[in-house]
Formats: sequence, structure tokens, C-alpha cells
Amino acid sequence: MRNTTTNLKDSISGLFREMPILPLLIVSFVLAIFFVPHFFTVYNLKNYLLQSADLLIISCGLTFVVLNGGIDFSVTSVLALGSVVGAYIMALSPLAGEPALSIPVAILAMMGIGVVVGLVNGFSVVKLKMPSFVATLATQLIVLGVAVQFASMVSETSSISGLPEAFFMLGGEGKYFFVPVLIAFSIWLFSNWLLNRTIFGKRVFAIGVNPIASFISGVPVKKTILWLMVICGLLAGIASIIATARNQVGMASLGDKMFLTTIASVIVGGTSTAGGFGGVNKTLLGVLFITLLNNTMNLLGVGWYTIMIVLGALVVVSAMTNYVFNRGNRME
Amino acid sequence: MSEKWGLKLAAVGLAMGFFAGCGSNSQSDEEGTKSITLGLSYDSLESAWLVVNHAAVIEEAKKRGAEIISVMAEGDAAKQNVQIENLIARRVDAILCFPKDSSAIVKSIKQCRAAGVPIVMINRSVSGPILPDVQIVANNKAMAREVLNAFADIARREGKTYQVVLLVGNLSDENAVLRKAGHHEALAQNPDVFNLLAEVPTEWNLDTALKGLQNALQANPEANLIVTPSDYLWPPIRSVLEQQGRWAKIGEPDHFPVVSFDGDELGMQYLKDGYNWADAAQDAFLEARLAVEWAHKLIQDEAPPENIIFDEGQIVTTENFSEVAPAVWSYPLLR
Repeated sequence: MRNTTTNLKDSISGLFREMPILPLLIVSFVLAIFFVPHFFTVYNLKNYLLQSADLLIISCGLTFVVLNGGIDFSVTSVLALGSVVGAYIMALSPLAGEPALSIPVAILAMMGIGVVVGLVNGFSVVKLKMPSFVATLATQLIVLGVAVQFASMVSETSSISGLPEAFFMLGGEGKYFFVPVLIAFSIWLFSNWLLNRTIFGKRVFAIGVNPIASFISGVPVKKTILWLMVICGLLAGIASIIATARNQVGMASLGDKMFLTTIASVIVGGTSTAGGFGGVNKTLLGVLFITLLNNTMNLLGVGWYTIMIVLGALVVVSAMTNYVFNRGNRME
Repeated sequence: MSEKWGLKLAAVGLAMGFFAGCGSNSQSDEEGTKSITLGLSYDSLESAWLVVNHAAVIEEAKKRGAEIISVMAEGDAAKQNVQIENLIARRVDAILCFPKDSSAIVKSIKQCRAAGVPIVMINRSVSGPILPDVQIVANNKAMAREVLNAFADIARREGKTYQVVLLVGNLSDENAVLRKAGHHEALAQNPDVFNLLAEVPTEWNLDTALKGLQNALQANPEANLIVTPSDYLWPPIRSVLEQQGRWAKIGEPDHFPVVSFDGDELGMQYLKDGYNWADAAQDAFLEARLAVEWAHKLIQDEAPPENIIFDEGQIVTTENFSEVAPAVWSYPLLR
């Protein structure tokens, strides 16, 4: 009996050590049920999941890069360019009148933009030896500039409306609310499998801990980094599809202020910015927690700047918690 | 070990403190079950007009006994849609919205309809097949046209002609589109007075406006009139004119004429001081009062006579300032 209790304690303690955000998420969720009016309703829980979907997809992509000790600033500009190009194809191009054709073409184009930006980032880091924060900052500026320029060329306004109704299903309109949630969950499952069940995943962690040692051990460092950047870009492209469908309009400003939330989700979840420790399971918790914060604060009518203060304080506490809990893990 | 527990407790304490601190809101909500709750969603409070209008809406709502839940999108159209989703989840009785993007907000209008929550647009209109329940907006196109026509009359009397640099707002904002259209109509109606040299896109961004205006005046040294779609853009206008040594009052040799829009404290002050020739003043208080009034009427299932209820505004010029300006909302704020 005593052994069973000790084992249970150990596994709970191990879970909390592995995912320090988990108790905070549970406590916050329970508190929200009791203290936040209308939080625990079907309508709001549906909103909560929907609001998490695109953030989870983009954060999963960023987790790959952060695990590797890098950063990708260009993810939000992929969102913007994907959004306006996709919207153009569906609403203004010669294919516009044929949703059966224009929607798949737009989806492929949006994902393609992510892949191309990822390839450019990967090439800059691997071949040109640029630090990822410099390379992706440059692509972020270029891609965002192209998005704004493209939108102003094809439309009188900086947003493109008139998208086909069928496309909105991907944003979870009406009875299809589960569609973006399922897509996000599938991507999270796939990312989890890729990181934890494949050689590629082991290489990502190894390079994050020590790229030189990994190289000496025969890990194809350059190829792995290139793939990481492509995966990150591709997932940003998919997030662009969901976000555009959710907002039902193509916007060059889409994702403008999303980077902070994305990186906060990764850090608060528990992935180390130094690389080598973390994963998308932690990011899932980070996303759920950040979305919970935003959702409950809106329900309470808390001002924007208060939200920023609370979010910032939590990022600091999370980073400190991660540091304390993971110090031993990294040393091992 | 104690370090770890300390951090755990700090994190949990932070969450508990936050929710407990905010919990009082829900208490008052429970107590005031019979009162109306209005959701207020604004893009931002960047301009003086918006600050005054936002405060006036809250004051008017409180006067009518309504509770207000206010959210701010800080210039992010996607975030505004999410916030409105949350307001609907909060089961507000109606939503008053100053939208960031006239197209992107359509998604929220659809959601409001589906949830049976009336939505009122304040100041920034939406066009197209899906409209909000009612829109309280300035008659942007007519006011932009009339303010420039009024200035053309003055110019004609003085026998002057003008080479125009036209500033343009963010074209995802229906107001900017309509003001641009109104300005263009007036330019076309007065070819003997105006010649359009350049259009400067500002995206409602002060830095973009500053650089664009600098470049436009550099490229067009013959320019001698700036037309701005908002008093919000006065700081870059003043900065550029000061750099060129042209920030001078009417009648002084280096004076550079400006015609503006909004009726903000700054634009009206410059009109009073002799830097601004004419201002199309929209009424921050009237629009706030009408918006809250219509939110209440919509909750009681009263239908508006038209989808758009116009604030016709006032055209204030250097010539009629003493008669018209006292009726403008910002007049008591002038020095």
C-alpha cells in the first residue's frame, strides 16, 4: 500500500517536474470554472479550442527550431503572405469563380509559401552560416513587405474579402468547429511522433544540446537544420490557412502581433530557449495556458495592458521555473 | 528543493491572485442580473477623438444603468474577432464596436447574428452584403467633399490656386476610403483651384505619414496645400513643415495651408491659432450617445429606420470659426 502511494507520488512529481506548467494550467482552469462568468459553457469551451488551434500549429513549428537552439521570426510574416496570396487566389484570380479548384490551389500556395520561406531560412543558416535570428529577421521583413505590397497591388484595400463560403469550414465556422481543432491536434500528434519516435527527432535534440559533438558523432547537422526550418515554415503556412479561414478575409496584418504569443507559448510550456530540452507536448500546455489567459481575461473585461503585465510576469516565472527544473536535466 | 517549491507556489499564487482579484467582477455580475451588459470592442485609442468617444460611450452606458465590458484589439483585426467571440461567450446583451478592419469584422457580425447579439458599429462603417444591425458614422464622403469645397470658395475669393498633396488613411478602413473619395470629388469639382500632385499613403501610421510627406514635398517643391483625412496626422505634418521652415500662421510669408478632418482638439486648436484653414468636425459625443441609445433599442427589438445613421458633422473654417466652432465637441478643450 505504502509502495503504491510512493509510486503515485513519484509519478505525479515526475510529471510536474517534466511539465511545470501543468499544475498552473490545472489550477487556472479550475479557478476559471468557479470565478470567471460564462467560462464553463459549451459555447466558450468551443471558442477556447478554436482560439488555440492556429496558435498550436504555429507554435509546434517554432518548437522544432527552438529545440535546436534557434529562432524563427519569419513565421508571422508567412501567416501574412499566405493569407493575402491565398485570399487573392480564392477571391480575385481567374480561378475565383470555381471554389472546387481555387480552394485547393490556394491551400497548396499557402503551404508552398511556408516551405519556400523555410528553405530560404534554412539555406541562410546552413550555407551562409547566418545566425537564425538574423536570417529569419531578414526574411520576416522581406516577406511582410511582399505581403503588404501584394495586397495593395491586387486590392484597393489592404484586406481581401469575398472568399468562398466552403473555405470557412477550415476555420471552424458553424457546425464545423471541430475541423481546425482536429487539424491542429493531428499536427501536434505528428510533431510529437517526429520528435520522440524517429531518428530525426533524436538528431534535433542532440544538435540542440551540442551541435559540434553531434557533428563529430556523425549527425547530419546541416541537413537536419534545413529540414527544421522547412517544417517550421510549412506549419506557419498551415496556420495561415486556418487563421485566414477563421477571419474570413485575407489580411497583410494577419499575425502582426502574434509572435510574442507564439514564443510565449513555447517558453511558458517549458521548452528551453538554449535548445536540447522541451518538446511539442510542453508547447501544447503552453498554448492551452496562454489561450486560457486571453480567453478568461476577455471574459472578465480586463484591460489589454493588464493582460500584457500578467502575461509578461508569467513568462518570467515560467522561464525561472524551467531553469530551476531543467538545470539538472541538461547537466545529465 | 525549497527553491523549486517557492517557484511553484509563486506561479500558482500568481494565478490564484489574478482570478481572485478579478472574481469581484463576477460578483457584481451576479448582483446586477437585471441590468444590461454591453460589450465594447475598440480597435485602439490612438487618436484624441477615439479617447473622447470611448469615454463618452462608457459614461452614456453607465448613465443608462448598463454594465460595460471593454476590450481593446490594439490594431489587430484577428484579435478583435477573437475578443468579440469572447464577448458573445460572456453573454453580453449587445456589442458596440469600433472595428479595425471593415472587411475582417464581417466574421464577427456573422457570429453576432448567429448568437442573436445585436452589434452596433461606431464611427467606422462596414459595406457589403453582411451588415451590422446599425452603424453610427460620420458622413465621411460628404464631409470630406464639403470641407474642401469650403476651402475652394475661400481660395476663389482670394484668387489663389493650389497644388495639392493628399494624405490617405489605411484603405482597409472604410472611413479612409470614403474620405479619399470625398476629397477626390471636391478636387474634381474645383479644377480651377486644385491640382492634385501626389497621394501619400499613411496606413494611419504617424511614422509612415512623416516619411511619405517628406518624400512627397521633396519630389513636388511646387506643392502648396496639404489635405489630411484626420487630425491624428497633425504631428507629422507639423514636423515636416517645421523642417522646411514652413510652419507659420496664416498671413505670414512662409505659411503652408492645410485642410483637415475630425475636429479633434489639435486640429481645432491649429484652426484657432491660424495654422489650419478648415476642419470637418465629427461629433465624438453625439456618436457615443446614438450608439448606446441604439444598442438599448436593438435589445428591445426596435429596428433602426436605416442601417446607417449619420453624424452630419460641422464644417469649420477660418471664416466661420466664431459661429460654428462653439458647437464642436472639442471646443471647450481649446486654449
